[in-house]
Amino acid sequence: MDKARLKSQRNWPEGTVGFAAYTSGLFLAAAMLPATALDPSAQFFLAGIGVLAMWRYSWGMINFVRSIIYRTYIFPRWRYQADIGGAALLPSKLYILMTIYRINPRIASRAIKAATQEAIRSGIPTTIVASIVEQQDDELVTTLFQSCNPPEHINLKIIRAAGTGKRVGLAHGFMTISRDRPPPDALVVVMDGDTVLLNGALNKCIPFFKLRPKLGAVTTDEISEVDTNSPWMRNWYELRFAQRHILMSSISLSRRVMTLTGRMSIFRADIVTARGFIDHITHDMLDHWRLGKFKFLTGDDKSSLYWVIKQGYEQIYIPDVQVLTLEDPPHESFLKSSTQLMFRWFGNMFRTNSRILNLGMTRMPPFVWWAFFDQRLSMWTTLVGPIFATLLAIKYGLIFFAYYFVWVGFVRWVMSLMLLSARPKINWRYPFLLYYSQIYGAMMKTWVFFRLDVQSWTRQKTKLQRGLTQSQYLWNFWSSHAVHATAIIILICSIGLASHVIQIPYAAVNSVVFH
Amino acid sequence: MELFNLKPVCAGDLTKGTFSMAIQSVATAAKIERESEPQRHHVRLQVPAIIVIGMEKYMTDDISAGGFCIKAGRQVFEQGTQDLKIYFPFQNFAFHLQLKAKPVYYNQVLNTVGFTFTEIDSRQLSLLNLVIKSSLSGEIANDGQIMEVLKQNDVPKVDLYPHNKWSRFVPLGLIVLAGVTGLILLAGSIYENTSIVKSYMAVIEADTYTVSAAGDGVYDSLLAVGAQKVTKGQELAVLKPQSSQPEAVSASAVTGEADTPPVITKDSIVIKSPCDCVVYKIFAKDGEFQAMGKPLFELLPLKTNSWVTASVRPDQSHRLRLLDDAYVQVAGENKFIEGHITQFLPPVFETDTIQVRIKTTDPIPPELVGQPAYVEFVIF
Repeated sequence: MDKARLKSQRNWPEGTVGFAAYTSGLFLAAAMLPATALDPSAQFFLAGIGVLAMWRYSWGMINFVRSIIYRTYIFPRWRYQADIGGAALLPSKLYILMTIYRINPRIASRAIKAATQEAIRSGIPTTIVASIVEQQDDELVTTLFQSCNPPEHINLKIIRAAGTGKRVGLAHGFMTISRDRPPPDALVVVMDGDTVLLNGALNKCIPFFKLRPKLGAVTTDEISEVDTNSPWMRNWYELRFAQRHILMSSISLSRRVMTLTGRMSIFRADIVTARGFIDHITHDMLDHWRLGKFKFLTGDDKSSLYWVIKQGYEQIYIPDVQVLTLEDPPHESFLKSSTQLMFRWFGNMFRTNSRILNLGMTRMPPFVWWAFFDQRLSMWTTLVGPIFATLLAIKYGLIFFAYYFVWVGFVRWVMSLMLLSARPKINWRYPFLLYYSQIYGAMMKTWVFFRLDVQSWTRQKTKLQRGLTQSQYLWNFWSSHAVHATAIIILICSIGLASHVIQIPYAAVNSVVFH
Repeated sequence: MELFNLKPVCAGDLTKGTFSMAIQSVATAAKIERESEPQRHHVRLQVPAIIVIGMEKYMTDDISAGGFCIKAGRQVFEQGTQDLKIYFPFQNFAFHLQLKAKPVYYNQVLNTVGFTFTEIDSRQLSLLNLVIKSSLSGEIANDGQIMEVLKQNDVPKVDLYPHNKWSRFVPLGLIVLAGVTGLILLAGSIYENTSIVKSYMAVIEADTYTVSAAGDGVYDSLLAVGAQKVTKGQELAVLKPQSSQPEAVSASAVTGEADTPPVITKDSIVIKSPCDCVVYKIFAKDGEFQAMGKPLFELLPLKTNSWVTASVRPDQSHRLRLLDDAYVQVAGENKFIEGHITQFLPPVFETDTIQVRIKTTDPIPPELVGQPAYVEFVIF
């Protein structure tokens, strides 16, 4: 037998060797921990971290189990029903709305061509609506569309909007579809110009709308092709999509999702052509007690999710359909890119989060409501561990850091293994990237949470100019810093007081007041 | 849809030679359309309008610049392209448009038919756009069939900044106050953990005089009841021998100063105070027989040499240095007495503590000797 055949027969997940090396290093580090650290205070430390971890990681475990149930028992039944439904479950009309703006032509070409070919394959009368800004995109779309030699029932509409943001481009696309008077069973695929529809993706998604009358929108799994030389960046994307797959499957067990990603989601035409929906997408804004009113630049996917949940529609995640996203990181540096992306993602998340929570549990199952609430909670609970470890290390000695990092390494080792349920690959970088995403991500979240008015596009180096006066700007700037600093101080004090590392400093007060 | 198919624009856009085939393809298959921006400003809206087809009147479900939807049966759908009138009722007048429209779908469930306009001139389109644009910008009430078209922007005007909301200062002030409190707590705790060592236990100690029996005899106190202070030479007690044995008395009865020896007679031995003192302890009771050498009193000189002995935990002791500042708070006292470390004593293994002696800057009143105390050592 040749080597390739032998390798395939072994059937080990990709990256097993590297991960095994990480595992060995981890257990070696654990064995090298000094026994002297296991004095009573060390045991107290381990017990404290253990309780915190149990509290925090139980949420991850619940989502993991729910995800397995959804992918193994629930969704396969739906898939069976969809398969036997056949052509009867297909809509009479399909729209594919693509937004294209300053996307690398090489990437956009693949996306446009794939969308056209997928529309042809679906056999459904389809209108592709390309929402573009620049003339060269018009030429690109036209050329690629015609190169696919589409049949009569596949049409292309090109609309050009001012480059004032994706929201405007989407709104114009929705208006165009609205004026086309789509039939009641029509569906609209809303996708970015950097997303490639893989073979059969549409036909595997759209039957669910007729199977489930209350279904308003679906979204799918994503895999990525990252245009970068950084393996860390590539692995980071893989990791995020694997985590997303698990979380979305878990939430979908409650017939809801946590985002209707702009990369590719499918809506009922009734939803996206409703005047309120279009107004909401175009003029979505937040009235903040401290920062004033401001319009949203990005996060159209969160706006659409809010609308769909508010209207009482179901949403589901299609775990057996993947779309390929062609990622073009905004910077060559992993740190800079991930910071910029996280800033945008988390900002979008928090700008909509409070509104979704305000809808209450009547519009969504309690578990889903709690999952949204956990988005607010998790940024603080994630920081508890490192802060606690730092306080203990300051008080009792640096050896606690060694214990902490071995513990962190072990937990991320388990979490990396759990990701194998989502992807047939694993990587030794995953534990490090998991920790980075969680801790640095939590820090980013706290930063963004108190600065919701600061927004920027990824592809445009511009930020929202609200026309504030100097005093208004200074108020926003300094009040954000003050509130953020207060939150961090209270977090540290709470952890310190709860763990008895910090106590009310009577002696210090005596020292200052009485001595 | 052909209504908005701006083919001249399309051709004008693609004038480059490389796209000549594309133009041909567009022209023949008519698959590619381009829309101008003004057209895209209109969506289907629930604008009140009445559609008259033949002799029948229908209320619109919705209407756009492209077409409309009415409640109607399949027979209307099957009639194909029709001439019709659209009436827009206003508060004091109405107007109508005469158009041609083609049915594009029939919804059996909702019993609705969707039409698209097939012939519409620019004047009609402008009028239709005006009505729909007004509705989109919120100038038309949907349910009252009343239209009050006023000049407005289509974007809702909002106060983008809460200029006059002084109330926002209150929550921010409370938040900042909480932050400052937390900061003080944190800074205090750091200062306490890095700069202050606390005693485990402490006690006030001083040099004392022990007055012992100068001979055998029955003890009888000469002190007034409740008296604490005594003067040098003051008679403290008398010992009455059971038999006359004055020769047995020879040694000094006082440990320490011996310049106030007891007055010894055949009948009694008078014990006198060796100093201006405070009576710290009385070991004997009236009528009790006291053998020679047995302690009777412990006296604290008023000008005594006092100090504090404090115990600290072994893991804290290495942070202390000689002459480090110490602040002593005697039990029951509010005031701290300043001092400094003068001596490290051998550890007490029974209590697993290290003992430190502190000399206070101001003398400790003798009545406080023996009291428990609390000591803070400031190491920075």
